[in-house]
Amino acid sequence: MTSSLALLFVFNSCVKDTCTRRYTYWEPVYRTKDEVRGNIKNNSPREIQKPGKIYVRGSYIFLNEIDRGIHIIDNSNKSAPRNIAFIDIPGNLDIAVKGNILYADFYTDMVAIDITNPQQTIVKKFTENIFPERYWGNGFSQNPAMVIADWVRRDTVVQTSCGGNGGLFSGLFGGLKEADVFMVNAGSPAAQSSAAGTSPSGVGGSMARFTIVNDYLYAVSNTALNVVSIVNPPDPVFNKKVEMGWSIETIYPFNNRLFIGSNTGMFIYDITNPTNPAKLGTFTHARSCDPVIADNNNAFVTLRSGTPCQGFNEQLDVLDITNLSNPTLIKTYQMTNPHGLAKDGTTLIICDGRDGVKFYNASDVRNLSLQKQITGVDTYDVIAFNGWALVVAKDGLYQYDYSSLSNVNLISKLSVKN
Amino acid sequence: MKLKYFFLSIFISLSIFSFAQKKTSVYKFHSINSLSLLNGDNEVSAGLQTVNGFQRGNLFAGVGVGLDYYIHRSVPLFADVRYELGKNKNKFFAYADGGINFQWVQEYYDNGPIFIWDGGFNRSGEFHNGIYTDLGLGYLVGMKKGGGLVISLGHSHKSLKQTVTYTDWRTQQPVTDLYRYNLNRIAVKVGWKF
Repeated sequence: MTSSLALLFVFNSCVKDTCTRRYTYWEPVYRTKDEVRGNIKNNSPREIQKPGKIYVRGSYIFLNEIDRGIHIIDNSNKSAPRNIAFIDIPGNLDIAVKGNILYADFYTDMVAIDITNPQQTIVKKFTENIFPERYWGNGFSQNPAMVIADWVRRDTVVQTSCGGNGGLFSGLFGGLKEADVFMVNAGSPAAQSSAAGTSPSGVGGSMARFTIVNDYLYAVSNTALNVVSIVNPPDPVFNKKVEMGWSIETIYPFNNRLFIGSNTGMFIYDITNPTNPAKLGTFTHARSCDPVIADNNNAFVTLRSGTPCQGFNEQLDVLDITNLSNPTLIKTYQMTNPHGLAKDGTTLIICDGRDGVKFYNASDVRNLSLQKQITGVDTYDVIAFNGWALVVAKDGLYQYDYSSLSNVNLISKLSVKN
Repeated sequence: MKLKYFFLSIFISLSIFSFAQKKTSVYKFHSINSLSLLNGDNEVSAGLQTVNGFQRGNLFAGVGVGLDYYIHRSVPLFADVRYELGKNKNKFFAYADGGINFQWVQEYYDNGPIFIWDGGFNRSGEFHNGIYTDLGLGYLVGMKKGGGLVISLGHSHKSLKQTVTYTDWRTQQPVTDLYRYNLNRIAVKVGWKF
């Protein structure tokens, strides 16, 4: 009997398949909400690792570090910008500025920070649960009492299914019974696109989901437009939520209008009554990511494909918006992988992903003329005015002087840590 | 790469064959061609192989190549050594094979569990070669000139690696998962030794 069992054991070992999977995951580091709130202040500067949205106010650049906080960069000398401080705000993706108050999302909440002295910022108020959809983020539900303050990379090896249709011996001795591996890569909030916003005190990049018009902050979530009153800037008050459908991405203000980009089209909202945005028109396009900017007569929409965007379009659509209730396509220009864009007078600047940054003469929108292309940079977003462009790229923050389009000069680069 | 090893094996076989022809008749060329039933933990499958080499006395050495359909199709290329017991026409033998298992995975989605949905793209990644071994006992039903019907029972192992690169949903950075397949089977072979 014993020898038979021993034989069975040996036989079983002989025909047992062993299949493993080595993979990387990120483990959340939890802190109490009070701990995290207490740490929202000027901390020591950190190296830029995953740059997100940008905002410029005076000689300071506020650069979002995706899901971690905000770098404060002293740009008084454009040729030598200095990273002077970092504000730890876990879950932060978007920023906007009015006067001396910076607004930043903090998972489900919003924090208002006084930046009168950017070297000594002061938290003024937390407004809770403005962004309830961020309750679930990065694959984890937020514990109301705790906050995911950081992520630690871990590598691990696990047993996995080998496949096959069932073995002769699996019934006798028991084969691997693990479930088949099927992984889904959901779109990351970090990868969602944005659009430009302006405020009396600052300029936002074209990939933003926050914008400020007069006394109201407008913030788009995946499905809604949130209206926050900032009549008293240090004391923001949530006003209302306007449901808009799925896959909302970007927001851009122009002349009492909000141009909202979604995965399936561009929506125009009238904010003559600022607390009651009313839909004016829609332009529908193929499914893709679409930052949008606008001027008096035209809207410029970049469509791109990619993991969170789906779709197969890589193009710039120029629209006629003289009739706001019926925007129409004027012309489509093929691009490589266009992301953020900006317009300064007749100059249109497009971050075309791995194809670098492109400067167009857009005096005739039916015949955009490429004046300069800077290659070798994987670009994401741009702020541009008065011949100065601030470009967020995969490997750093670039500043260009484009006062002469025939001679675009690199002023400086602040590198991203590899 | 596969072709390189294939031609190398042909070259080695022909070299040994030429050498054997020149020297003496104690080296005798044989070709052993067989079908195999591969029974493992996760699948019952089949394979075929040809082993070509020379025999001197009871010892045979050669080079073999095959097709192995167990879970992930592959092409093993291996050295084969076998020793026949006794001098009768019908006799037992022991054999050992060792070599490289070249991946030749096809129709992966039909028989494999691992694919990754990466925002509109199904990714099965890239397969990499592994090793192949086979160890067992057999019986030769002898016919003319040392040939005959060959049946054997052995333990066969093959390995493969698979790397799947996709975009991490949280960081939006590319990450690579590494899968290792170590597959063990009982191989029952029936063939003919020419």
